[in-house]
This record gives sequence, structure tokens and C-alpha cells, in this order.
Amino acid sequence: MIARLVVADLVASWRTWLGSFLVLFLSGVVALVCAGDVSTARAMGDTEQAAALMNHAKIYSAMNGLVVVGGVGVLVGYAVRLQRTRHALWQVAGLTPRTIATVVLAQVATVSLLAFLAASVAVVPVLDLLLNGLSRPVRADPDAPLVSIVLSPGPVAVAALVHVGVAVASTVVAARRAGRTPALVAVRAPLDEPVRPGAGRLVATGLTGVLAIGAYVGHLLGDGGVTGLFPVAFIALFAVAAPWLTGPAMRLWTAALPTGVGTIWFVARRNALHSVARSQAAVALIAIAAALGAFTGTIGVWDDLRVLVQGLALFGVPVVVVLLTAGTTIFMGTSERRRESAALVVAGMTWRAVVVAAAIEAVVVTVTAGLVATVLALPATIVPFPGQQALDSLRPLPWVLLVGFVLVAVLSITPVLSARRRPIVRELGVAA
Amino acid sequence: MQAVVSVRDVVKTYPGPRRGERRTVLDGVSLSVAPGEKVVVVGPSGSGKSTLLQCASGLDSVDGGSVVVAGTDLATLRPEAAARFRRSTIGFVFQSYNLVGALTAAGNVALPLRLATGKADRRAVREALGAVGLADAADRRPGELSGGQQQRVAVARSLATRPAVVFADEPTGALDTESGTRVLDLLRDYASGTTSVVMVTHDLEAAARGDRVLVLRDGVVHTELVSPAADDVLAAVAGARGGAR
Repeated sequence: MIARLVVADLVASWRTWLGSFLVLFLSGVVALVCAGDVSTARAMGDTEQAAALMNHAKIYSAMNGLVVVGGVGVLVGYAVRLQRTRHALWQVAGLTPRTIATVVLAQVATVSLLAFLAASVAVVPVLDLLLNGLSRPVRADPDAPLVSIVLSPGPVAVAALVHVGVAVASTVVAARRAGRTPALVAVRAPLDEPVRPGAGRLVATGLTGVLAIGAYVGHLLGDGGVTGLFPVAFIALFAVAAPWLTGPAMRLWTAALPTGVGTIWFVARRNALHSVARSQAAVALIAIAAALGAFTGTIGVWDDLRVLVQGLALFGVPVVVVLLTAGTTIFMGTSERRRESAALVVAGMTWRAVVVAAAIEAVVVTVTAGLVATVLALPATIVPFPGQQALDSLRPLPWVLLVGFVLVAVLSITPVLSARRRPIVRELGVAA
Repeated sequence: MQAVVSVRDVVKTYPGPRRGERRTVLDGVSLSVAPGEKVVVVGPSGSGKSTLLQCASGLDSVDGGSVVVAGTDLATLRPEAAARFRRSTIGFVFQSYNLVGALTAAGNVALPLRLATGKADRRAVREALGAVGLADAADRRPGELSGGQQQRVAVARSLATRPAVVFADEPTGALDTESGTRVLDLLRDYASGTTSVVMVTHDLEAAARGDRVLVLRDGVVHTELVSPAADDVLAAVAGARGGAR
């Protein structure tokens, strides 16, 4: 029965799961690249190049693994939130909270497995290219191409297991929350309460705060070792503290422009603040992507094109995963945006004004993310890394933010334009 | 006296179950609403009540006939002009409320006023919310209000700009009896003498509050009653059900 429910629900709500699939597809590519690293290294025997490939597998899986855990956790958490009514109906139909949680976990496992299979189909034909390009920065002789690249079944099986395991593990909390959905939600729309951070998050914020400050102090004292990773610690600190920081940051800077400026600004600001009160994901993720981009600036990858390409090979994928996750959270709210747009038109706004409001909202989201990312990147400007100028760490920021803005704007405006082409009554869900 | 709403021989079709087939939902319906008049449309499910309201209010297009509201033929309006016309002339109340979730109750009521005048008249907003008994809930968002409260905000919003006509589609459909009665009282009392109301409902008690009741059957007007009692409406709807295709 569970298997049937898992499949039927995945098919019925494929839009909700599409974003998770895309992020898991990318993480599947990463897992397969790591499997390729290990397979090829084993085939080479104990050489310097084999050691470099194993090193690449470790760095790559660690960096991307962390990002994927966060990204999938955010996406599935949001998916569960969007499907509260459905989960409540399951309870009314007799499913226990544990069964509902199991169904959600099984759905994530299914999606991650499908994504891994899709990634396999996509990666195998271009494995030579990927492995040569991505492992280039860590190889002793980057210009010498890798020979005899292989993908053995053993490392691939381990990669698949780790991939699915990481995806499932990162959604345990969201699955439990799905099981605890009040049955009343089946018959009455849930009150739109902002999610309040719990004690666990408070403790995590404290710990990452100590870690980040400790690492930064070590860096200032010239430690020169692992404390140089302090920008990552600051990003982690922001990731756990985002619910406290993102909303107030947006409220603060947008208050500089009074609501009396115009109705479109009034609506755009209210919409942005309302969205951020329900989920900080879009703003926080773009800020994190920009801060990760800034981190590449601190290690000097922006000095010349050759080094830039190498830096992007090493650090580009996490930035893409985070941006994709941000876009996905916006995409998942598409139907809500269409309905809200129609409601605004019924209230008297023109479609053109609603489109402009959506564009302004995208600006609000991006500027807020930019402010947060700048604050996160500032510590590296005070005492720059050796060989770096003070503002080097800020140079990548505008580029990542530009990509983020385009992503948010397109995903915010497209549903409005699409809703505009259909009768308003359909968007409002009013029966004919 | 010129009619506020004039629907003439309106035909509306939707795609049928088979390719190329069209299903006729409204088949030459005419309706005229005088200023300040409260017209109620009733009929069996699938008789075309909501479609009539959607066509009469310009939310949906028509395949034949004409719809004139406050002297303007809705077919002549381009989308942007239609939005401005709706803002100034028409109010809506839906069964599913359709408030803007990001705005507070006051924000929702203020929105059409802001759009019309460029600024929110706080006193007008306060008065509108006070009139529907929600002065204390001005700062709460739709998600924090009960269904009845949300519907009362929707009524306050629809009437805040003093529109020529309010279209209400099953405004009490999702409400308990007490909340429903309150919303109907508001529509009756708060609408000024110059504001007309066109309401679709399944509730025959509510229908009996209308100055005029149209009973629809299979997309045509089956019966028209003037200031009817609930029993008269019941009998007319039963007659329409009996003869339905």
C-alpha cells in the first residue's frame, strides 16, 4: 500500500518534487565524478596522480555533500509545508504519523535514486571531460591529461548508496513534521503562522558562532592553517541563523523607501516580507551562493582566466547547487503566485502593475541577499589573505547576485505572465 | 432608469469531452440590474449560475451576446483598461475569499482605494472594517482570520470604493449559518442605495433576501421571481430541477 501511495503521490505532485530532482541530479553528477576519481585512481595504482584524484574525491564530496544536505533539507521541508493538506487527509484516511513519515522518506529515496540514474545516463558519455576538467586544480601536472579513465561498479554502488543515504538523512526532520500535521488541516486551511526557530537552532547558532569567531581570530593571529576556512564558518553561521536575520534585514532596508512611494512598491514590499516570514530559503540561499562565490575570491581564483576556470571547477558546483535550490523554492510557490496575482487583479491592479511588482520583489530579494553576503564577506577584506587586495573577496559578489536576480525575476514574473493569459476565474480556483 | 448591468443574449461554451466538441453552459441568457437592486441567481448545480456571474462581471469572456456594465461594453476593453474599469466600478466577493495573503485585513481593504486614488484613506479603511465588525482585526493577515472573518474583509474590500455593482459568488458557501447570515446582512445593509448586488447562491433563505430572483436551468432563465418568500424560491428551484435535462 505504501509503495502505491509513494508512486501515486509523486506522479500527482511532480511539480513539487521536480526541484528536489534537479538538485539531486546535480549531486548525483558530483557523486559519480567522485566515483570516477576513485575508480581511476585504483586503476592507476599508487602514483602521485592517483593520490591527487583521491584527494579531489575527498574535497569534492565534502564540499558538495554539505551543500546537498542543506539544499535537499530545505527543499523537502518546503515540499512538506506545501503538502500539509494532503498529509492531513492521509491521517483522516487512517495513516499513522509514522507511516506518513515513512512515505515521505520513501518518496525522497525514490526521487534521489531516479536522479542518480538520470545523472549516470548523462555523466558516462562525458566522464573523460568531467574528470579531466574538474580534477585539474588538484593534479600535480594539470596539463597532462588523465589516462585510462574508468568507472567501476564498486565505487558507483557506494556513490549511489551515499547519495540516497545523504538525501534521506537530510529529510528525516521534514518527514517527521509531515507525520505530525494536524488532521484538522484536512478540513480547514492552516493558520499562516511564521515558522519559529527552535532550541536546537539556537544551540547550533551558538556553536557555529563560536566556531566562526574562533577561526577568524586564529586567522588574524596568523595561524595560516585550517582557520583560513573562516569564510565557510561564517556562511554556516548565517545558514543556521537565517530565520532571525533575513526578515529583519529585509524589513530594515526596505523601510528606507516609504510605502507612500506607490502602490506597486507597497504591494511588492509586502509580498516580499510575507514570503520571507514563511520561508527565508530564497534570500538565504542566494546570500549563501554569493558568499560562497566571494570565498573563491579570497583564494585568488579571479586573478586570471586560467585560475578562474580552475577555481570554478573546484567551487562552482556548490554555488550552482545553492542557486538552483533557491530557484526551486521559488518555482515550488508558482501556483500560489498565480493565485495571488489573480487576487491582486481582482482587487483592482492591472496585470502590468502585477508584473512590475513581481520584478521589484525580485530586486528586494536580491538586494537583501547582497547585503547579507557583503557582511559575510567583509571579515576577509579587513585582513586579506596573502597576496590578496582588501576588496578581492567582494569582486565575485555582483556576478553571483546578477545570476541570482535573473533567476528570481524569471521565476517570479513567468507565472504572472502565464496567469495573465488564462481567465482570472481559473487562476482564482472559482468553479464555472 | 439606465441599468447598471445589462446582459443580452449571452452564450458561453466550454470544450466538451470529445475533441472539437463544445458544451453550451449559457444559452442566450439576458439579465438587467437596476441601480441599488439586489438580484439573486439560483438553480441546480451545473445550471450556469457561476458562469453567468463571471461573464456579467467581465472575469470571463462570452462567445455570443453582449455585457454592458455602467454604460461600458466589456468586450471593448483591453486587459489593462478592464482592470482599471473593475477597480472603479465593480466589487467582488467569492466563496473562497481570494484576499491577498501578504496584506493585512486593513491592507486588503486599502488596496483598491490606493489604486484608485494613489493613497490609502485610513479613515475610510477603518470605517469599512468597523462596519463589518473587524476594527480590532485590522492588522491581522488573512491566514490568521477565520473563514467568516475573511469573508467579511472581502465584503469590506468590495464595497470600500463604493462600486456601482458587487458580484458575489456563493459568499456564504464556506461559512457556518451565523457567519453566513452576518455576511448577507452586510451585503444588504452596507451596500448603499446606489450599489447593486448580483449574488449567486445555493442557499434559498439567502436567495429570498433579493429584490429579484432568477432561477437558471440548463443555461437558460427558467423562472424570474420578484421579492419572493423562501418557499416560492424553493418551489421554483424544485421545478427547475424536475425539468432539468
